[in-house]
Amino acid sequence: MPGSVEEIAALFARCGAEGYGVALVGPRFARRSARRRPVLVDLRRLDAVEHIDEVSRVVRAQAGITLAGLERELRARGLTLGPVAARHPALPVGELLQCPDAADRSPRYGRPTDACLGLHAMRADGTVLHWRDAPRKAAGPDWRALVLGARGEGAVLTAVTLRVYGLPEVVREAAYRFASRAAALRACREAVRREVRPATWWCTTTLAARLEGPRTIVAAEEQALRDAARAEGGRPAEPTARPIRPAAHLRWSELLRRGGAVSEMTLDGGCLHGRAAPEAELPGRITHAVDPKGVLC
Amino acid sequence: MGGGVSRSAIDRESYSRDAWVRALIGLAQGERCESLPDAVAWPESDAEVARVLRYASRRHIPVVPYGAGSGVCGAAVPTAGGIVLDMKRMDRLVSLRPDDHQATFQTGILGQALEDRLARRGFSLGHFPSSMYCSTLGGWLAARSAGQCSSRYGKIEDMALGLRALTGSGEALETDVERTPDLGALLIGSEGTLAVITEARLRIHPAPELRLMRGYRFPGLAAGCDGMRRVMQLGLRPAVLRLYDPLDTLLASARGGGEAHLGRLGRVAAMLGPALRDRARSLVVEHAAAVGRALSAALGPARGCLMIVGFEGTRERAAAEEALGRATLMEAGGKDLGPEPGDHWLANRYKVSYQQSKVFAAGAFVDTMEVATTWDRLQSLYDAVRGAIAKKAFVMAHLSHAYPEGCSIYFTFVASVLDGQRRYDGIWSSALSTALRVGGTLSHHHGIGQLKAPWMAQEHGEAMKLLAAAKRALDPAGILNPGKFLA
Repeated sequence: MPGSVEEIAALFARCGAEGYGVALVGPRFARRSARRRPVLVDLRRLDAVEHIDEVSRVVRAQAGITLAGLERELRARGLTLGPVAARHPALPVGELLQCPDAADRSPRYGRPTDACLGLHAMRADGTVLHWRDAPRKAAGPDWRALVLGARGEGAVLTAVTLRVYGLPEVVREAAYRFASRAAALRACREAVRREVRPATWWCTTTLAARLEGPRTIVAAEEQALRDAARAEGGRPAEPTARPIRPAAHLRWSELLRRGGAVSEMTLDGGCLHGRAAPEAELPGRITHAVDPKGVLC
Repeated sequence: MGGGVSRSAIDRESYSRDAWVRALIGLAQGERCESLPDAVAWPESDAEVARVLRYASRRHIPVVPYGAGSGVCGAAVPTAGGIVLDMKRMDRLVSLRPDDHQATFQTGILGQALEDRLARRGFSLGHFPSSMYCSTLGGWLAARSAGQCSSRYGKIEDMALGLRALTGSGEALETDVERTPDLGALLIGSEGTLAVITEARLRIHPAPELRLMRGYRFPGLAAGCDGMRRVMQLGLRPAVLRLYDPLDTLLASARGGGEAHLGRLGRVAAMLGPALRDRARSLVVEHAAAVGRALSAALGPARGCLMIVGFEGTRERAAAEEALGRATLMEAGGKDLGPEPGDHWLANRYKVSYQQSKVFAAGAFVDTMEVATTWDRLQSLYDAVRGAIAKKAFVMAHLSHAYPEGCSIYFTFVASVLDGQRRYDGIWSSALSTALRVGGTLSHHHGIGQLKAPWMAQEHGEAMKLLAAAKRALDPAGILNPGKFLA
């Protein structure tokens, strides 16, 4: 359990020299099996909040801090990470960003990786990658793609800068029950077209949404959702618990064909639960380029 | 090759440059172009692009993908000769999935043509760069473009859900933003150095039912920035949110909101009569920096700043956001000027991109620089970069492309061509070093090209080795757009 960037560098150097692989510890990292004899590395001692900028609503923290820990610090300042903190309180922020699940997204708050405005990551050879904090840039390829979502292969996140949000003025729960799942999904798609962007929502034969934000905007969303639900025969219902299972983001035409629970619907589709998102086939040449000795597994 | 190949002098000359102002200064001063391609090819399919790449890869011939040539950083200049691949014959709408809100286009399609194709089916991409008529989807992707409505619809990288591309050896790659890691993020912004992007699957939006434009006047830049920040941090999504600094406001107000940056000065000169006009114009041009500083000083402490705001979308949502946005901006010190300034801006929003030749005709050059940072550093970035440029040029700026955590600043500067490229290089060197020093980005949406390549190491540090390794992996023969930020 390294407690500093220097300790990580020393550990990587030793693993490289002695022929060990490095495998990060965590529920999401565990989905992958190590290719080499691994030294298990737990980054949860890297848990400092380095800076909170309340004007820009940006926080810089070490990657081992849990979402609950970070959310606690933010709430004390009237800020929040959004719904992902409540869903996965024990997950370290670095693990969330390196092993994203499609259903981590929120129609209102976006994907956690989209909120990553800057990062420090360490490669197996001890060199540090630094993406300078910025809202956006057009400074060549976005090499963060080789770190965020790369499941700790190639480089390990040590610190991140994240966009955070003000606490919402109002929060409303809304739910409608439909005669069929298809009707619920059609109502949902129409609500999305009417620009309803809840913090979270999910859909079986019940369509349930958590609406957050300024009072007048939430009121407009409630009305749009009500209209869309009624058009498909939806009746008001009690919200029920949503499943938290790995999910893949599918387009609407696929969602309408399949069965199952869907969450976080946006204009171009939603997350079908129980089906893991496919991983990209990064050309092996690139993987090799990032970590030539294959230390990080 | 369906679209043909040319080695004619006129074609080679035509494809020897893009809209990089430095090259245009050289051209205005009669310099010969030293970056002629050996041939120009117009592929019509992926198979033809792949054939060119395989041919070139075996012979180590440079290949430079080319859109419409509107890039302002010299990214599409064939600095090492070779083959220019003009992608504009690959301009098909491959598929449109209305239920999924997705459309796939070949990347050679021009911006306005793409938008027209979608409009006929009741959709919009939401991407409206000022180069709309003279830039392609491929160019947007290559440079990480942003349109005038980016605060609502995002930058081009937010719209691209998947890419089809061909590596330097002609091998096909497909990317999908829902797969991790997302190789597409590596290709977007690579400016033709890692692969040739031939198709893009894009998120599209129902065409807006309602658009509400409005103008506001703020007592100063700081108050206007504060208003923008509050709007974005409420979670509102204005399609347009632009704040002009005092000098840009002065000129924008005089011209009614749009037009060229020298248009106002030109109009004043026109009133003076031919002899006086020529003298006044040359004085303004020769002493552009001093004129700018004097105007800035003359505006005094009570400098007003114009803001243009537009909300669009469904009727109910646009009205709700506009009402809350208006209340928020007025609370931040904005004075409501009604719809007219916004409507005027909308009607004239692309005109500024087509005034450059008039400026050159007046003996000056005009260029733009776009940087971004978080809200806490925005004023210091503005002051520092503006100060650096103002020593050598007439400079004004506006803020646009706002995010909850920060914003882009778009500097426009005008200087005499008398010192030509030396003055140009001096301005850029000083401005970019200053921007990086005070926490700004190297670029927000114009890309890197040749212009900003020397600062890439400062921007990315050790990660440049990563990019170089990716280059070796995807373009082992090193033929794709050599001489740029990835050699």
